[in-house]
Formats: sequence, C-alpha cells, structure tokens
Amino acid sequence: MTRTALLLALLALGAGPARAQADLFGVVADAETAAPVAGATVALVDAAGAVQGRAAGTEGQFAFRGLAPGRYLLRVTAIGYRPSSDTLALAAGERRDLAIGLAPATATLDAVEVEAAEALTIREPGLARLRPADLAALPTADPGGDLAAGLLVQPGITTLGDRGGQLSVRGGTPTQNLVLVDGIPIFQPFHLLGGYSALPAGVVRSADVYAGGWPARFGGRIASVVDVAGRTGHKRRVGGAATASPVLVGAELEVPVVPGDVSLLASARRSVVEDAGDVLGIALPYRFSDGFGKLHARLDATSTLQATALVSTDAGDLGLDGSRVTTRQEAAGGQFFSISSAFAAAIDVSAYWSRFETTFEPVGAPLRTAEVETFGGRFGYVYYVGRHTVRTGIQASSYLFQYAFRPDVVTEQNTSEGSVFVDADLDLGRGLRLEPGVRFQTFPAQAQPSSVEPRVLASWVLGRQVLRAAAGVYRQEIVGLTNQADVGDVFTAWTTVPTSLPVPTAVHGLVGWEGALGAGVRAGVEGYRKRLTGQTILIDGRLRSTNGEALGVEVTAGYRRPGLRVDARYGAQSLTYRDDAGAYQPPFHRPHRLTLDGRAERGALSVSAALQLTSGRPYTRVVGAYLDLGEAVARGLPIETALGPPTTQFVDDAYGERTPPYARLDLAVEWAARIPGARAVVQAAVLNVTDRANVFYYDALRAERVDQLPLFPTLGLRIETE
Amino acid sequence: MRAAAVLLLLAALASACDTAFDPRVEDAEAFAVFGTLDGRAATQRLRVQDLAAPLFETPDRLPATVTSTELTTGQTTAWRDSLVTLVTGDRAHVFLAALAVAPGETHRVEVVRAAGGARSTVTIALPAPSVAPRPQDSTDTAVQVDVAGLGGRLVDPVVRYGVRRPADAAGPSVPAAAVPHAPAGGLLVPAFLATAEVRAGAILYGSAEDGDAVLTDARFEGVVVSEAPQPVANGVGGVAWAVPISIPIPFASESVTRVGFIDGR
Repeated sequence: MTRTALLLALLALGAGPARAQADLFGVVADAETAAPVAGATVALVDAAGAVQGRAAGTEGQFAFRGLAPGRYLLRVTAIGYRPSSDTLALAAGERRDLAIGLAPATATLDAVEVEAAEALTIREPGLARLRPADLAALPTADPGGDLAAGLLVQPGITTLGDRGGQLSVRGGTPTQNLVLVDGIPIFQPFHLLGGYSALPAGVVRSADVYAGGWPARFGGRIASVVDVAGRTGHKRRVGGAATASPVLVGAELEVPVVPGDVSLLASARRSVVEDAGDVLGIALPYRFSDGFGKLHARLDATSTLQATALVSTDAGDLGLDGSRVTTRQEAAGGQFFSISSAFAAAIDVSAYWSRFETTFEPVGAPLRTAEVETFGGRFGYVYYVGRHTVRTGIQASSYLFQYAFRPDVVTEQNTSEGSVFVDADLDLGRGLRLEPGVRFQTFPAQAQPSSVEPRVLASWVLGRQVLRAAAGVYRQEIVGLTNQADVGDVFTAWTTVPTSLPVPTAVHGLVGWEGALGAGVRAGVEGYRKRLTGQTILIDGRLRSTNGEALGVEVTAGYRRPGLRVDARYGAQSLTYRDDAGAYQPPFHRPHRLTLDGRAERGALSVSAALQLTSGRPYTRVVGAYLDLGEAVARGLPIETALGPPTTQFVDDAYGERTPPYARLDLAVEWAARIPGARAVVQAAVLNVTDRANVFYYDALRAERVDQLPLFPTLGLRIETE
Repeated sequence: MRAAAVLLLLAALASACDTAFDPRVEDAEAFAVFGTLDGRAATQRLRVQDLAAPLFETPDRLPATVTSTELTTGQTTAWRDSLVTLVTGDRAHVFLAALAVAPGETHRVEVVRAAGGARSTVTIALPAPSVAPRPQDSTDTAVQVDVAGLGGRLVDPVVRYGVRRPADAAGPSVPAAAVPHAPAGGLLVPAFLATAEVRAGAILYGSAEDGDAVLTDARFEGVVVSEAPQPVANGVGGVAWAVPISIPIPFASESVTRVGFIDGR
C-alpha cells in the first residue's frame, strides 16, 4: 500500500501539466444511440506529425493532458464505425471537453473489421472482447443470436453440457465466475438450455471476458469475469425487431423517450422449445423467458445516466428422471458517469440490486429451495495524469442468503462486504504499459475478515505484435454450492464460506503474445497457471475444501476479409484437484478443446458454421442406484413401508473415467431481404449436423444414458426495422 | 468452400469417434439390503434392492435368493420374496423369514444373484450381555451393577424385583426404572436406589402380622439395539439388530434386607 501511494504521489507531482499547456477530455459515443464506444482508438496528431494515441475506456472516455498549444488532427476509429477526423485548435491553458459521435458503418462492416484486425488494440491480458458482430457470426438456433454463443466458443470456457447453463472457465467451478450486466452482479446468467443466456445478442453492446488476470477493479470471484455492457436504444427514432423460431419467440423495442437525449431499449423472449421438441420427437422439457430494459440519458456532452433491469426465469427437467429445477433471476441498477476536464477526472457512481431464487425437487426426495439477494453501490474515480491513468474505487454490498435442503430446515444468513481498489495504468512509452493495482476486501462477519489482493498487468506493443502478462491474487467469500458429482443436479445454494473452511483463493499468472500477420490474419497464444486453494465444492452432499492447479495454453487464429471471417481456437489444459479424497480431475476438466467457426456472406445470403471438438470429461463409474433406507432403519421404522432418498452408488475411484469426446457441428444459412422500412432475415439452421450422440450424463436411477442435443433443425424469422 | 469442406471433414471424423459409454460397473456391488434382525419378532424382514436394475422398475420377482445362517449352530434359513407397494406407488421387495433371533447368536445373511452368482453379505452378531454387582459402599443406599458386553444401545432399562411375602409363596414382581450412570471406565452402570424404586411399587405394602416381604431376585431387563447398522459387504445398506435381554442380578444377602424392608405403609 505504501509503495502504491508513493507511486501515485510521484505521478501526480511529476506528470502534472504545466499551466500553459492544454487538456483535452472527451467521450466517444455512437452518434445514433449515444452509447459509449469502448475501446475506440483516439489518435491526436500535432503539426509536426507526432502521434499520441489512447484507447477509449469502458464508458468511451479518453483524456490527453499537457498538450502544447496549437492545431491538432483528431482521428477516432472503432470496429463497426466509420472513422472520424477533425481538426482542433487548442489555446494555452485551455481545457476542453469533447463529445465525439461515431456513425455506424453497417454497410462496410467487414471492411472496417479487417482494418481493425490489422491494427492491434491495446487490451488487457486474459481478455477476450465480444462485440455484436462476433455474436452475429455464430450459428445459433434462432436468428436473434445470444451472448452465450460467443462465450461457448472461447477456448478456456467449457460447459458440462448443452443443458444446465453451467460454464467453467480455465478450471474454475461455474459459480466462480463474476457476471456483470451494466455493473449489476448476476448470479444465474444462463438458461438451463445451453446456448442461451439471459441476454439476446440484440441487447449486448460488448462483453469483456477475462479468463484470468483481471485488474483490481473486479473482485469477489476467482475464475473469470464477464463484464457485459448493455446496448442503449436509439435516441432519434423508434426501432424494433421480432424473432420467431422453434426455440423461442422474442421482440426488441427501442424508443427515444426524449429525442436526442433519452432512450429506452426493451427486450423480451419466451421459449417454445418444449413444444418444438414434442413435434420433433426430442425430449426438451424446458421453459425459459427473459426480459431486459435499459433507460439511457445523455445529460451533457460527457455525462450519462442509465438504469438497467433484467429478469430471467427457467423451469425444466435436465434429464429424464422428472427432477424439476426452477430458477428466477431479477436485477436492477443505475449508473451515473461523467468525465470533465475541469477536474481532470472521471467519476462513476452506481447502485445495484440482484436476487436469485431456485428450487429443485429430486424424485423421491424433499424439495430444496435457495435464495440469494444482494444490494450495494460503487463509487469510481479516475484521475488522468499526463499519459497515465489512476483508477480508484470503493464498493459496499450486503447479502441475504436463505436455503433449505428440506422444507422444514431453513437456514438464513446475511453478511456485508466492503472493498477499495487502486490501480494505475502507466504508459511507459515505447509501447509498454503497466497496470499495477491492489484490492482490499473486507467481510467483517467472516472468520478471515479481510484480504489484500495485489494485481499487475503489462502489455508491450512491438509494431504489429503485442506481448502481454498478468498476475494477481483473487479471493471469493461468497460461494455457490452445486453437487459436482451429478451434472443432472444444477441446484445451487449461495452462501458464505463456512468458517470452518478456508476462503477459496486463486493466484493467476499468464503470459501471451498476439500478432497481426498480414493479409487479414491474426494469431495469438496465451499460457496460464492458476494455483487454487480452499476451493469449496460439494460432492455427494459433502463440502470439501480442495486445492488444485490449472495449467494451460490457448492458441487463437483469425482470418478476416470482406465477406468472410474464420476463427480457430485451441485450448490445452491440465487441471488437478487435491483433497482428502486424493488427487483427481474434476468434471469440468477438458484436456483439449478446439473450436472452429466462420461466416461467409455473398449478397443476401450468408452461411455460418461452428465446430466444437472437446475431450471427454472425467466422471465416476456407477455401481447402481437404490433408495437409501438408512434413516428409516436407524429410527426403527417398519421396513416394509419405509421411504428414502434415491441414491447413486459410485465406485471409490472418483472421476477415474472419461466420457467419449464431444463433437458438434452447427450450420446456419441466412437470407436477408429488405422490405419497406424493415429488414427480414430468414434463417435455416441445423444443430449437431452429424447427429452425434454426445453424452450428457448417466441417469443412474433409470440406468439410462442421457445424451445432449441430437440433430435439431430449425427455421426462424427475424424482422428488424431500419 | 475449402473451409466448409474442412469443417465437414473434421466433423465427420469426430463423429466417427466411438461414442460408446457404459459407466456401470457390472456386479462390483450387487444389492442394497436394509432392515433389522429383531429378537422381539417371530418373523424377520429385509428390504432388498438390485443395484443393477433401474430404480423405479421393480420386477415381480427379484432375481436373487436370500439365505441366512446362524454361525454357531450352522442352521440355515431360506427367506422368501414378497412384493409391497409403497405410498409413492413404486414397488419394493421385502424378504421374510420365520426366524427367532436371540442374544449371543451370529447370523450371516447372503443375497445371491441368480445369474452370475454375485453376492452381497452381512453378518450380524447379537450381543450376550452380562451383569455383575459392584462392591457396595456401606454409606450408599444404591445398589450398583456393571453391565458388560452390551454391544449396543440399551433402550428402556428396567430392574425387575421378585418379592415374596410369607403368605404368598409365588409373590409378585415389581418393575422399577433403572438409573443409568456412565462412570469413568466406560461400562454402563445401572444404579437403583432400592428405597426409592421399591417404594414406587406400592404392591410391597404390608409388613403385617403374616411377616415381612423378602426380595427373592432382581433382573436387569431392556432391549439392546445396535448403535449403527452393520454394513453390507459387496453391496450397500445396513442391517441393524435389536434383542431383548433379561439378566439376573446377583446380589449380596445384606442388600436383600436393605432393599426388601423399606416401606411398611
């Protein structure tokens, strides 16, 4: 802490602007929706041709301090937008706030993307940034697309199956992922039917996926961070879209509430896959629905206010045994953001509330219920010092937990947390950036009430190559307990870590390279190591504190040219957990994973394809199933009429076997046509084209294998107003 | 087109990979057996479930035979299958045997699959407790005994006194609750304050002209039940046991007088 304070003081003293110099602050936003364009490249060229560059922050903000008076050329570029150029004349001592509106470049999207792919953006290590174009390029079961499709092709992200909505990132459990939607924590972001999240692609502006090594501003989880920014509605005209497919029906609407300044975006979806499954003879006993709304107001050139609300529900039976699962996620929050040259700083203030409830009724066993609710707020402050940025923030949250593994025994808990972070984004010149930071987190009611989590990220741009590295300590006091022994059981009870167990902690280290190789080709490789201690996992009703290590490498390659994009990703992983049961590889371990996807467009037609090849997952062989009458025997009840919970008997060698490899090819063909005032897209898609029997799990109660989605044809229609 | 061909080729190759998946371990463990060998019942009952079969598909007859052998005498008993319907509507197999079990016996129950011969076994040793008096403390009116070899949990312990009055040779018996103690040393010590307990049985009333009543014997009675079911070997589940006991308490003559002549009215 002392060192960090010293560094900040030095920065403030050494890099402050001289009085005669000028400052330029601004926000890059979509010209139509006023949505911030995060990651936009802002270049300032002086009269001598010297170039200074900035990458716009998550709210589109940028700052240049200490500029010499004179004329400048300001050029702003971003994927999916037409480049913007302007000349500026800055007087001595002038402080200027600038709003830059970028016009969407839908007609030349691919060309712009190719250009952007050639120019490497400075992004943080371990980060994959998904944009609407990335989501639209993937084949999905309906033409509306979904955030989950983009996540599922990432090499470090694996899923237990196409049902259950359980994602594991680089060896972590599904409940170790922090998912934020406009800064609001979401406990259950995915639907039970795999491939679907609570967010259709149409409401996603961007999704930053940190598979490791994330900076100090994120805390409370140890496996990954998925930071989703919701799209904002059009500020000048009413628009909308409607989607219908055998999987779901949905609609989106955007309305300028105060034209030019305030907009509303709303989305609603409801599944119909249960009925479609009946028609196709495929058991898909799921129902889900979700709704999203966002009110966005531009207060002035560099200030915004927004409110976001989300609801997502699920009900379904993951296998064939009739065990019903229901979930309901509700969340809401608001955020104020402003950047001002007068203060040489940006602030964001936000408040949020999120609630998740779930029930699970296993066959022959009592109903289980669980509920978690949190509310809290954040205050963030960003100070610009020359080329450097110092970011600091404070956050406080309260949690309420309630769960019952049988209706008559209800456990209630509550706890509060507070955190403070500081990180500095230091531009050391010659393409080298360093982002040291530290997070102090406190849970006053816990056995280990506080932690200090140092983080450091670095990137070094060398022409068309960039090297990245990151390391950090991460801790998670709020854990979600799901029975890991049975993938058919996704019931999750959120709670604090029992005081008798250590707090789950991870130490991440990663190093990577990414380069533009010319001719539209870019490639990257990233290696990582995670040391895991105190992982709280639930296997067969027993809480285990597990240590482990994840070691892996991921290779990505992409090719872009107008009308064609292809991506390939490969991940190799070694993941070992160790506890009193010995050393084993947990069920979300995948030694190898390869995904290939691409989209080709010609005129009104486009074809997209996605192939996933994944190693089989570890599982424990099954002896059989029985009704456990042990309690009835112990209580001396008549054995003739005794009932007990259905129980699966496993062999002692935990996770000693592997399922066959997973392979799935999805194809989609789209035909787009313009109709008066709208664009219609007809999509024919086939999921699991080869009808491969991919194992989901073994229903030991019925001694039956349950497979994932078989060949599933769909025909969907989407109409978007223009 | 080339990319599409590569994708299809990879998908075809991947799909050609073996998808065989049989996570079951055949006959690693054969049956689940639950129940209690109960010395108070003339017919014993055990629930037997076939681990190899789907849980909710119960055949009319379980493809198994169940026998039990009393290891001391070698006497073998064949159990017969019966089918019951649970409140859930599911069916279950209950095996029955006309078998009386007694303290000191050891029964081995075997469930053998008809095809293949896989077997699950469980051996239940029923305890034979003994009672021994403790040296009596002259300052204490309590009579203490050590009970050894319980092997389980004692339920409803009772000390039953036999008394005889001069006019009634057969005499009545008087039950009195024992007061279990757990002294250092581990053994159960039922102690009974003779005065209090005998007074509780007002039947001793009357030290009339036909003479005082005398204590003829005392027995320690109750039911001993297993602390935990005996686990099933090569299977799952457990079989508990319960046996009634009635053990004479040897007592010293001086305690007879003290116990027997307490309450004259």
